[in-house]
Amino acid sequence: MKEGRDPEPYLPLTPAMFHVLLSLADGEKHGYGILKEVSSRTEGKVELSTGTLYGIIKRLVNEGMIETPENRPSPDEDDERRRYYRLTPFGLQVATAEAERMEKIISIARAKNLLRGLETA
Amino acid sequence: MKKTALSIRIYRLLLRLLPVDFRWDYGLEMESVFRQQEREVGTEGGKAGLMKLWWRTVIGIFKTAPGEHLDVLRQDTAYALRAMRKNIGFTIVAVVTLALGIGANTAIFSVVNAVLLESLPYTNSDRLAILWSSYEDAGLARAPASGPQLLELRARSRMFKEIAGVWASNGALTGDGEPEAVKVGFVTWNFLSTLGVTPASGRLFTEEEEGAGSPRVIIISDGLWRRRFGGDANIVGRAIMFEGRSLTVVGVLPPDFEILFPPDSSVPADIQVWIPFPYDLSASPRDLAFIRMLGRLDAGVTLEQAQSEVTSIAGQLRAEFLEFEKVKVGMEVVPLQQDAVKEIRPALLALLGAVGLVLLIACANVANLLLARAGSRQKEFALRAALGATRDRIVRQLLSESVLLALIGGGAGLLLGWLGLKLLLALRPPGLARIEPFEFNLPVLGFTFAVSLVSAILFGLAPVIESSKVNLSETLKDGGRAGSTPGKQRSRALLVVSEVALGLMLLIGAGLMIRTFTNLQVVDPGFNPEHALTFQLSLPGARYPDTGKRVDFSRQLNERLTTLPGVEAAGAISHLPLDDYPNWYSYYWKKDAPESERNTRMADHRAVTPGYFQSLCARLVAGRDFNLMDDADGRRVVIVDEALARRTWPNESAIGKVLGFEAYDDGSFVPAEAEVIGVVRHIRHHSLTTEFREQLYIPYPQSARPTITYVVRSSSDPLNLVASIRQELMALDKDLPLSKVRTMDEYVARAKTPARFTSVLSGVFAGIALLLTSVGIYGVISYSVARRTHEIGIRQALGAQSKDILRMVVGEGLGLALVGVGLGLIGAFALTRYLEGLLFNVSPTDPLTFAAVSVLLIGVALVACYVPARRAARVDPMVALRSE
Repeated sequence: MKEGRDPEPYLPLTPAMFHVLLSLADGEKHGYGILKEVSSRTEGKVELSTGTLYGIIKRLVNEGMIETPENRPSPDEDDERRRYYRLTPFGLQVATAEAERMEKIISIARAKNLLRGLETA
Repeated sequence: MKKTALSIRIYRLLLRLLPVDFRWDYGLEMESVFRQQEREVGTEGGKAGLMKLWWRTVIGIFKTAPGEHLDVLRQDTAYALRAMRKNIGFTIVAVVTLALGIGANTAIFSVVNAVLLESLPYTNSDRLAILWSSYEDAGLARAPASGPQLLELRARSRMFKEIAGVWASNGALTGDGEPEAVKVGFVTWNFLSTLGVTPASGRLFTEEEEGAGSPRVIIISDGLWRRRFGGDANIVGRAIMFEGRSLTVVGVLPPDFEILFPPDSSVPADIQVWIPFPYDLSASPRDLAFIRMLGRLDAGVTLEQAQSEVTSIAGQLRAEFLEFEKVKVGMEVVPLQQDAVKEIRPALLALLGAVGLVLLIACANVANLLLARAGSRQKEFALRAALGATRDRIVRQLLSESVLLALIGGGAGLLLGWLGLKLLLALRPPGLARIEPFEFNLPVLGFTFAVSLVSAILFGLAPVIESSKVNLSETLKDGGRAGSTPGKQRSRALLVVSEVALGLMLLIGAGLMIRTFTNLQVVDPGFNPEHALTFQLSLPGARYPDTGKRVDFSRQLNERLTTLPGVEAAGAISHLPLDDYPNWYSYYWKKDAPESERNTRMADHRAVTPGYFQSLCARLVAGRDFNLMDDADGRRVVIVDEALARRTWPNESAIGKVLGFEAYDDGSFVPAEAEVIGVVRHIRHHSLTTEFREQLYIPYPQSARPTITYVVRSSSDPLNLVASIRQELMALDKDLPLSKVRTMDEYVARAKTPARFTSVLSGVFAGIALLLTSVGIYGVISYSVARRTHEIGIRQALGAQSKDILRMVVGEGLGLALVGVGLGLIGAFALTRYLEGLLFNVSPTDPLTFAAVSVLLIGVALVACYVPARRAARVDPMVALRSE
């Protein structure tokens, strides 16, 4: 239903939002899982609080970028209060568009020799 | 374990900061995530880690909550707007209704705020008080004081920081172009500083500048400085001519300075020049009372303390000086703030009450509309509830719709209020002179906002209460007949009854005001104001130093005026009726009355020239008018009014009797005796509504006061005479300014403005109320007819005639109206007595007004019922029966 929408108006994403989308790129996760993933990928530099996380989740759900799948993991490995989230095709589109946007910026930075130090390191 | 429970409890409290829907959706999950975080951090990061987690969590929720709440508000507003658009007819009616109610309140409140609530524009104005004198024997209160009285009070008082005095009079500025008549305030040197005014340039007076032989100085108003002196930057130090004498300007007052004394103090707002008393107050007679005293209370002194001190000083004065004992002098301290608005206050409060009623009626009407609509929307809400909306959510939705309606209504009301205020200021009585053409300041905006919100709660509550009674499954099953619960019909009937009751009270109030105004139209002031032109002259002391000069002038002018074409009669008087010139009143007594009775009766004293009574069409009921023989050297004669004649010589003719009084002779008052040569009808000098004191007329040559007002009766439009009068005057004295050129009709119209103001405004408000009430009745009856279509069909099928149906429906509406009228009559009986002070020649429970208004309202109710009743009577039974 929400396919064919243009991701452009949603860009740029806030870093926290982008991190949440990224963490779901390789499969569905529950809230705590998202927090852990974001924290470990950023080596603890981005630590989301529950309030911020669920504020973002609510927005992403409302915008149709993520959803809660109907079929949940088998009950024995599941806490009943947990809900799982996964990217929708549109969410994926938005995340990809954001990544591409960043890549363009990076290539400009590279062309201007801003990233030389990093490359040699 | 216990520690975990505590932290979770705190976490749950934190979650409460988020909107309920958010918590509903994510609360449990968040709590579970937080538990995990806490467990993990607890084992890995220790205390420091826990602290960091809490910090992050608290900040996170505080950052998220406002945005989420705003989101909900946005949703509610969008939803409410959608609902309003969907039902645009309802929305327009509701908004217009509210705008009328809120607009009327805004307009009246902005006046009330400016006049009654804002403090007077003086430094620490709450410490300023007027000190009135009273003369117990003559039953006289709010009287002026004499010079020595002021000085004695000032010397003895400990509670007042300052005591000052003012006496307003007229004078003329000469030199520098056209002569110009101005109002002058003769003051004690400290009068302006007591008010706390800072001059815009120059300085205020010093103590040395008051009294005989002191340097001649003057302070002028900003208006005069700009107009007459072209805003001359070097005005301070310049000499200007006042009454033929040269005075040095020492200061100019700021543009916003105004003098705000009660109207009965004879200290007008438009004094343009200020001069320290040019004579020693101590040398002035103790019983020559003309000064209005102003006091500034010392810090921390209460009104009661000041009053008790002043009372005891009055006692000392009576004990020490015969003059004060003779008249039983007393003194009263009245806060200036309270006194300045004394006369306008009751009218404003009454109008505030009226607009309050209008607002209540408007709210009842909107509540009614909302109830009707809530009926048709019940299914929508039941559906939303079934889809998981909480009751709180639905209530909030309803309230946000009400608030939105009220805010839109409030915005429109602000606009209406702005227009209303313009109308109101066009009608304003003199007491409202100080209101700027427009001031919507913070208090007014705040008031409008608050009124809007309060109305939202008032009218928004009804559907909320109703919606809480809704039974979900019943409503869903019930299909189209939703909202026809008897309970709802009862609350709508209740609303209509209260509307009628409130409307009736308002209409009766307005009816009484209108009766007052019409009574004023027919009141006989004792003269005929039509075709009479008046103008005032002040003969400057330098060129007209004595009685002879003034009398000569007045005779010559009178002669010239009466020979002008179109002039029927001309004459002059020292104090024109209904003018604001400081009054002249004093004692009179029957010849040979014992000393003790000489200070018990007072009369307004007036000096008049021959022809005055004729030009005013005042009726001489006995004796003769003054003539040229009644001159300064002739024997003293007086004309009295009927009231004085009746009181002094009941059942006897006054003609030929001798009266004692205080004559004014070149600046001083002397006891004199005079023969009564004529009796005139009482002339209303101070107000159209009250007969004040007895009146005593003295021939002008026997009391030749420098300021006189001419009355010229013309055969056609009196204003056509102005040019030729000006010419005649120029020919006699080219330096004499003609001032206050007005028709007598203008004075009479001005005296009617307070009554006109209250009657027009209350009439407008009553009209709004009548309209809203009839709309309310119409709405309820229409609704009831629609609801009973099925029943009506059955009745018709069973043989009921159209007229039976008509009677049934009209009867239902009439029943409501009658109950409302009954309650309204009780309310009106209880409340109209508070209007008594505003009424003239009509009792607060005037049966005619009460009856007429009741009949009017019932008639309107009948018409409002008739339209839906006709519709009901025409119902086709077959259609009606199928209508389920």
